[in-house]
Amino acid sequence: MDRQVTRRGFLALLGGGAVGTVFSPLPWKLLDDAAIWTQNWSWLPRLPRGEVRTHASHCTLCPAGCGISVRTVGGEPFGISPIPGHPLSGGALCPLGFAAHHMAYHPCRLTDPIRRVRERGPLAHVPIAMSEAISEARAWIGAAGGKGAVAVLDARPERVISTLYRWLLEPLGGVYVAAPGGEASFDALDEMLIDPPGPVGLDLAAARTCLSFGAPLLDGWGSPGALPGDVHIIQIETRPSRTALHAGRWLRLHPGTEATLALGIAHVILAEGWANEPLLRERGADFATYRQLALDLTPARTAELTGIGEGEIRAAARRFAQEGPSLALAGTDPGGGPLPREAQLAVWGLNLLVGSFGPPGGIVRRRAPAAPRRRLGDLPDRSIQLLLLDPSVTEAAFPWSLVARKLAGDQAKVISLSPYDAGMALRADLVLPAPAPMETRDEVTAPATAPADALALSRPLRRPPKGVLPVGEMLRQLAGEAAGFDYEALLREKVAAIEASARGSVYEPATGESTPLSGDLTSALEEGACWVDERPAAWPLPEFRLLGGGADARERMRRAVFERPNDAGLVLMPWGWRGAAGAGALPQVAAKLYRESHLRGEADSARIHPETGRSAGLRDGGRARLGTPAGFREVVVAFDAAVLPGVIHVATGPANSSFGDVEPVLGGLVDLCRIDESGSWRLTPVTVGEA
Amino acid sequence: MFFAGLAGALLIGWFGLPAALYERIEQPLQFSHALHCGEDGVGMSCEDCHAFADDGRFVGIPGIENCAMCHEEVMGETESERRLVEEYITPGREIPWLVYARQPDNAHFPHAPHVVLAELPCARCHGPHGETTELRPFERNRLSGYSRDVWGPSISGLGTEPWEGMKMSDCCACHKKHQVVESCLDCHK
Repeated sequence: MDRQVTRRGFLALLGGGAVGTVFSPLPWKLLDDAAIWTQNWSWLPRLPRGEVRTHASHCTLCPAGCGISVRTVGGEPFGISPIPGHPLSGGALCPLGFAAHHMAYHPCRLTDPIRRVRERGPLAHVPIAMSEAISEARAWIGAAGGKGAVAVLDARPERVISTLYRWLLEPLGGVYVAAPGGEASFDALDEMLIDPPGPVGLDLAAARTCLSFGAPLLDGWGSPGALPGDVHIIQIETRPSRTALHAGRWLRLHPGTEATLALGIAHVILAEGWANEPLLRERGADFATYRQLALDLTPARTAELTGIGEGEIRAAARRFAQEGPSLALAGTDPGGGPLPREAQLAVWGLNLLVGSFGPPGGIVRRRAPAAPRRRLGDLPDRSIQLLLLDPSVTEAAFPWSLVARKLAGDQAKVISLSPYDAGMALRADLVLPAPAPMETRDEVTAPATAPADALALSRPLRRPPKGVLPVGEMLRQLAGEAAGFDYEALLREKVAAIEASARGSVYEPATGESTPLSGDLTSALEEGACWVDERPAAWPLPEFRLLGGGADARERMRRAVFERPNDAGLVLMPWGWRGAAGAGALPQVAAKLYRESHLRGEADSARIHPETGRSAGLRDGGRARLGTPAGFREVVVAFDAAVLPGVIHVATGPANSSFGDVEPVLGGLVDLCRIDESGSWRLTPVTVGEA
Repeated sequence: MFFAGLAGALLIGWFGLPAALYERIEQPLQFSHALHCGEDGVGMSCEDCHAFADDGRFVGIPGIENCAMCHEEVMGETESERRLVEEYITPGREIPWLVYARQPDNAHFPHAPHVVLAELPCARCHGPHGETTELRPFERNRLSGYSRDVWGPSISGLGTEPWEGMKMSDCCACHKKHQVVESCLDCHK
């Protein structure tokens, strides 16, 4: 029988085949498998098979130095968890630390030096060989002539690597500068003390009352885990931060009135006789002036200026004075910038009034001498011809204009040592690739706020990519391979000096116990131990100036206290999380966690009181354009009734858009901020309109 | 013609696809779970070989030293045991088992919370594997590279037994059933 396939029959066959395919597993199964197939591309990093081991080490993502337990398989780190009971972190670990081992695979990771080619675009660059990069950097260093022409910016100044920077700068007449910002500045405290006893720390663990002027104590500030559960926190800040919402009391003051409130509290302490006035008169060069200034500021006036009720002010002052040991902290979140000088003086001064200098639970002295450093603000403008950025600088959040005005115009060169082409490295003309966390032996010291010095190591648990040199080795080559530029030898010397001192205790993660230092500290540190210095026994109250130095000290404090800043208009207040405040690289998976948790939506968004927002023509979830003399930036609007009317809170740090597929972004919201005469950028007048 | 096309597509989809998609690979050695831990076996339990380490990790497939504890010398008459001793235990080589339940690297599955805390029996996920007298061929998905056990024996993905399938949807269904709150990072660390 002759049967021909007709066009109709063929189409019916195809139709039947299509219907049959849909009702078979074929398309769905292949779709699923194809998705999985994309996970197995050969170039995707994958864990080796092998022995699973656990290594005690320390996190280096931020200055906290948390103790971590790193799991490796076949020699490759694949998981991190905190070490319970660790003296620096108390078993705490932030979401970034949990994913620190991912940083080696960051999309912005550099494995070769790069030279910026600005003519092709602000972020355009070309890779160059390490030898060429070192030669070029040395030529730039050699060409930068004159005292102070070469500078190093370092965010963690107490390390051995910082000593190498100083050695590099010494023959050049260069300046070593501590990175601005950070969480707590003791500069004002040093200024108050006529003969400072050396570096100080904060004994939060023994404090019962803590008057925190913006320090995010419950968000990993200082030493995470150092805060006992029974300390009464009085949180004083404008923003409804997590610490503010969980504190014993939250005093929501008007922006920029910290100095006023601190002196208002001093008024109550002095007026009600809680201070040891004879001692304060004896040791305080300007106590009489300070006292009069404080007594002029009545609680009623303080309430009017700060927006905090008289009763609240009196209650806070009484609790602070009576429920000791007490600590008043002039600290801030890492993105918010330091308090202005007068506010710092007024806050630290409260500790002097209630005798919190020296005893446990107050401001305590640390034993190790402070490393010499300069403040960026003290350098002459346009003085730096060559600036070297340590890898730690990328974790700090500060307006680049703070640095830019110190650079000698367009001729100045910036060299960054960074594992990533992100954050501050984007400002550099030359970037030398530094190792990522866990690729080299790194030194971990106690954070600036810790009550005692400490030393631990971050252990090298994976090989750095070929061509990436340890920072110490790069400095040795930059110094022309000068003798003595041996990071490992210097580190051994530092450990040997501690061993010789026979001071302090060693925490062993294997046993979870601290024992007095004895024997081989080097081996113990290699196994993940942490040495903690002992504290000096006594610290007599030194002589001090409560209003700081300078002939106009009283007048400056009077202005800061009695004049309400920015009485009219909107103000911009930045803030940021530790480790994520700067524009540097973040672990990718941690970024997901940020998105999934309540932190989602914070970065690149502006929190505004609904009434303020509506009056500016904004809507919740819409986009707004923020404008300051420094520029404009688009943000997402988030209405929040807990925000003070007239204030716009913006989170510094990588924008949400850069959490996933990372595209380098030059500058951040912090670059919109205005820098005041004391180097603070907490308050900036801002205009806002719908984008 | 329509029905011819329909039937052809259904046949290809339901029978041709599995045959083409999965590559059958014999295990390097035969092993009888029933002989070791069955009712008529030598009285071992699952935990004798698939144990938890001191730090709580599940050690998975036991190493050759575990087998050597009993089989340092040939005890029986089977070809598999002879090969075990001669090819693996004596030269100290690990057996390159093909693991039916191997999950992708991006999935973190800790046994401890499931077996110790939730008290799930091994068979909840591994089925009657502990009762088998021989090891079936490992069926490798040519596209994804994973074991067929991850998808489940039915090409439709609709298993009739709770242990059929070890995909994320199976994990989520069980979590939902037991009211376990979950998020992406619980498993994808």
